[in-house]
Amino acid sequence: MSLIRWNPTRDLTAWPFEWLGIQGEMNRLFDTIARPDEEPMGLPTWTPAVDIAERDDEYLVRMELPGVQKEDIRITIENNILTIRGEKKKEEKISEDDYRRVERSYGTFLRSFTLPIAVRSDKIEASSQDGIVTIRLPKAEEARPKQIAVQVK
Amino acid sequence: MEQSHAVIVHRQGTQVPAQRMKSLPVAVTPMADIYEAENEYVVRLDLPGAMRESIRVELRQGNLSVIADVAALTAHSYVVRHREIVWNRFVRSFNLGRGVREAGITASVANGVLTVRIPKTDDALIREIPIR
Repeated sequence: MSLIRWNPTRDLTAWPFEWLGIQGEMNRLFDTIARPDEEPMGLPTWTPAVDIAERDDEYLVRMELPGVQKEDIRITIENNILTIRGEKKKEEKISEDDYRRVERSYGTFLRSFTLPIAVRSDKIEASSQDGIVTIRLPKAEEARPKQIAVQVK
Repeated sequence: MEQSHAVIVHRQGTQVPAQRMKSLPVAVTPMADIYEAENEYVVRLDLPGAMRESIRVELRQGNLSVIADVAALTAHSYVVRHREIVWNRFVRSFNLGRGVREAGITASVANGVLTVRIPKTDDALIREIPIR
């Protein structure tokens, strides 16, 4: 099943790293030093965490986007590839000198997922609550599991 | 303290518990920004998915702590295919230090972001002394 698309920035900046092990952690550490927090070649600057769930009739995608305005989020579907992109902007203009701590991620993000089966692209719904964006993707009728009654003679 | 009853994971780390314990919350440190304005400090915490009524901001002996529970990710009828949001609780605390007016602290939440405003005491404000 190919739910998660390969993303070249993923092993540098993305969470989770657990599958990378110690070696991956070290590489990541040095990569972060070598590449300061700027936006290289327009690549996404952060990767929001995602959960994906499924039931008979739909897929459910939930993405953590705290503080991202609705109008700054774009959700598209093309060839069964779901793409969520956008930008997290700072709440207000604060001089760099006045920041005592900056841990939250800002800037552009982009994640895409290949859905293993066809979905009804005209029936996709997205909503946002408490900093989580929830996307419901109804499965196409022909892709849903069917029960076929077998006559036992 | 609540914290000691939780499994602590780190957002950027490798310590994702192999087996999620059903009864214990899995806590994560939420990311914070802090800036200083003329007459207050502003703390912003990302609490995505935190249920409004579960967010607790407490002040105890100069220590400001924030605890919030994350809503259950999916209804039971769903099968989880991919999971990155492994925590179900946010826990963080800050030492306020001197020069803040504890009685005047306010907190608000919007779009998954908690904003805590901590006013400075009068004697902590910058006072410009004119040169005669």
